[in-house]
Amino acid sequence: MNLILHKFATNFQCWSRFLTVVFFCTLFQGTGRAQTVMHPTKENIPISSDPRFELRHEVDGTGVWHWDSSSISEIGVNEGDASQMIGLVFDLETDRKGTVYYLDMIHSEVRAYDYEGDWIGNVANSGSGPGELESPLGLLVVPDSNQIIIADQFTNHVFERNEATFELVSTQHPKYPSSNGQLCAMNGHYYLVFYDMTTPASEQKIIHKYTLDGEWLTSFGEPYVYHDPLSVSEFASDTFIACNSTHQTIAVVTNQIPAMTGYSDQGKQLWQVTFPDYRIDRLKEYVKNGVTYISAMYEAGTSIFSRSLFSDGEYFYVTYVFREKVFGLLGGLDFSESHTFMVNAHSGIGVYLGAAGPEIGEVLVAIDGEYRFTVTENSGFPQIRIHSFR
Amino acid sequence: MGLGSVVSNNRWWFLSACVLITSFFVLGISGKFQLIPIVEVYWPEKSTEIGYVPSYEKASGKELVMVFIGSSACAYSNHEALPKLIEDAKLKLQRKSAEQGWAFNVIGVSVDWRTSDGVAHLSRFGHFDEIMTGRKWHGTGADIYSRKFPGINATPQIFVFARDYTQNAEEAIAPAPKEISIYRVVGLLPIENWLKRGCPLPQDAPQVFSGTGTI
Repeated sequence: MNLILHKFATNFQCWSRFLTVVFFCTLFQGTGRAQTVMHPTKENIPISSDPRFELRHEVDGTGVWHWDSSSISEIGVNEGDASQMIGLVFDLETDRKGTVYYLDMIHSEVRAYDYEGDWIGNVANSGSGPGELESPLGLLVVPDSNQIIIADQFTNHVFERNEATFELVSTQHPKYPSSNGQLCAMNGHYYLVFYDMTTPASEQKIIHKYTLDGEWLTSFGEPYVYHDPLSVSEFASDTFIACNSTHQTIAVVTNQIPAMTGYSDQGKQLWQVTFPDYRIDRLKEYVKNGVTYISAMYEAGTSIFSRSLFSDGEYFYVTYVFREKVFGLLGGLDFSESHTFMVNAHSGIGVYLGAAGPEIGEVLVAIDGEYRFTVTENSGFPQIRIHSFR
Repeated sequence: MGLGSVVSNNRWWFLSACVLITSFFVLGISGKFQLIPIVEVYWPEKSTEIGYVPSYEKASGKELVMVFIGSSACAYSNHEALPKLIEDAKLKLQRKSAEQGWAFNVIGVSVDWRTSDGVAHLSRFGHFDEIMTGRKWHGTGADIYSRKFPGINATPQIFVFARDYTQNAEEAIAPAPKEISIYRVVGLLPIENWLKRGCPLPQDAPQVFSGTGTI
């Protein structure tokens, strides 16, 4: 779903949190250089020495799967009840028991629906009271439990589901709070992404492991290699994670870095696959009036990893989408072809699956066995589509 | 007497005039000499469209409120297409309100540090019933419409809420309006898209006011 966020940030807003994507100035002027630097730098782009770990999308766009589903349920209408009008799908998860949860960034709500698209209830609503959401960033459905964790500003709200109601059970204040809403859980622990700009990059990691009670256990995962914390932070905020319970593995991808890395639950790197056909959109770092800025180039023909890195069964699934120029009253960039890969969580061996949805502009964000969940605005308004292959 | 001889005979006058004009021009450009008046020549913008006009009526009963949140510092808020979109949104929502027998008003909020910047920015968007600006996101308007009604801190944005001033006999003399959030649309393209779709609003939201029907 990062592509939706990206589209959001690219086309139309001056959003304080996501200013990091467009312009982000730093007070670390002493580290700024006079010349322009293009990111990612060469040393941050992995090159695979083993062709088995190079994943390319097919030139003709065909893969091993198809989208001829037996039925499609939809969530999201142009005009209807509030529970059916979607603002922006920022994060989506399923509990693998017939409920899909999504975080609506515009309305600051987390809503629950069944696989038929019927609204069950809201897990949390906007507000500043206990368990209410001020600036939610991401959500997590804890496997094999009734718990839903929502990352808000510097806090994690833990809710427990009881039939169609959701009760706040605790609000945690993690030692390293989620900086981009990326959370995943497996085997009684959850993981999140955090990078502290005030601490030298060499002294910190970007993935942090907690107990379900919010107690920090360990950190791992190397940040982007660069001397200026602004650039490192920029890449950390665009880092996505997924957990695979079957093989106790965590996968990590970062936008502009054409690779996916697998770690053990203790943080040991297990494998790394690269995506040679991914087209990097460079970030330009420059200094103006003594202040360092980073600006995304947003060039047509470049790729972006969607926020749809997730896991199902023994595999991780990851998608990248290409951008193309659109013309019209407002212009800008839109998304064209998408490519989804499936990577074995244990071995790191992967295959190309094909397009991330039946239509261009429709992108896969979750799989639960025979169900695939996509998001799209092809009907003119935001929708979640649930494709059944039963 | 030819032109050349006129110039030649009065060359010191011409030279003095040139020096004087050049000196004043340089002084004026430099901004050092503040007493030189600024003369601007411009043609008034052609204005043929009929835009939103506030009703200037007392608040009573139910009303739909549109809040436009922009910023002089935001490139997308300054996009040339936005004023027309905002004007269209005002008129469409005003029509929706009228169909329901509700009042309608528009609030302009400019997320700016300097009030003069905010006022200048909002002046590009036609008439408002009221405006708020200053103190960036800490300003009263931005605070109310992003914290009291929690939502995303981003511009440009249209936020729609409903107010009910209806007073029953047991309530105090001054009506305390009930307010409910109805809809929020953020960003230039989503605003354009929302307008194309006819400014849809959640149909069940006003039911909080018990029996008010749909918008």
